[in-house]
Amino acid sequence: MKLPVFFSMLFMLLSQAITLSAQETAPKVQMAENFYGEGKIYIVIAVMTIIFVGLIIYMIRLERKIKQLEQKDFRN
Amino acid sequence: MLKHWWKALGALLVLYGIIYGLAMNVPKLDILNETIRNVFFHVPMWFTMTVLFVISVYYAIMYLAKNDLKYDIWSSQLIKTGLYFGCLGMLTGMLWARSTWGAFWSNDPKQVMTLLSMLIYFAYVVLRTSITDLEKRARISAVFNVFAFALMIPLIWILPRLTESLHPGTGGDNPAFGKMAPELSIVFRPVAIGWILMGLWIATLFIRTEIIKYKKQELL
Repeated sequence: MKLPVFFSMLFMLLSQAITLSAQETAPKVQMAENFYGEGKIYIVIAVMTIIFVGLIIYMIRLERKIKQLEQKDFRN
Repeated sequence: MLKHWWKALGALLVLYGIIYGLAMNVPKLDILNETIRNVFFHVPMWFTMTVLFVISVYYAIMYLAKNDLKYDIWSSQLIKTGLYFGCLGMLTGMLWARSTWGAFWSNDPKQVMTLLSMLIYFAYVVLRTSITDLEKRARISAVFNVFAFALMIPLIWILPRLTESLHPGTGGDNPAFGKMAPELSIVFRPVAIGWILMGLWIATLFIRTEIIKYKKQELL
């Protein structure tokens, strides 16, 4: 009979200790410091740059095609 | 080449946003953490949408004054492009809200009123497709455009700022510029201009193809 009471009290104490320790570490704002420190963000930037430049090239080509159509006379 | 300088400028400014916006050191904000970088991509979508809508209402008024179908094409294609950017802003905003506010949709005043405003503009697109007579369609959509714009001003720019909102820029602050950290806003402003220029570029492509379509059908 005594053992479950002992364990439940132990659990309560432990959980309180855990929440207390969590409160102590709360003020630090978590940033992706490791990710940035390893320089891996530049891989992501390079991928996004390639895709964006590719889309711009596509838009320039599209605009040239539109210009060709504009110069065509449809009334004949 | 000289008349395309603003397109190159827009692309370069957006590229600056992608490269420097991701590489820079951002202020350490609670909950937002690294996601504050979204401000360089999500917010300019709305800026672009509103700029395109403002230019669109100008051409709607020009149509009513001059009765030239070209103005109707400009006005309607600007709205279509603006809605594109609005959809992108809505989707990116919902994704960002999921991680920051806990839910994709939390009935925030700005969310609800922006959606309402976008639905009015969607109604404009639906209304246009339902009218076959070109002159009639142009006149009705120009008038609808003016009313939609008149509704957008309080829905997006006034009412959400008066009420409590999860978005920044409430209770009398100048949104986006008021409380944004200076190291962010110095990057944000040119990037936003870049996105607006990109939106204008895409809109001109829409307008020019539509004009070709009209000419091919000998309507213009």
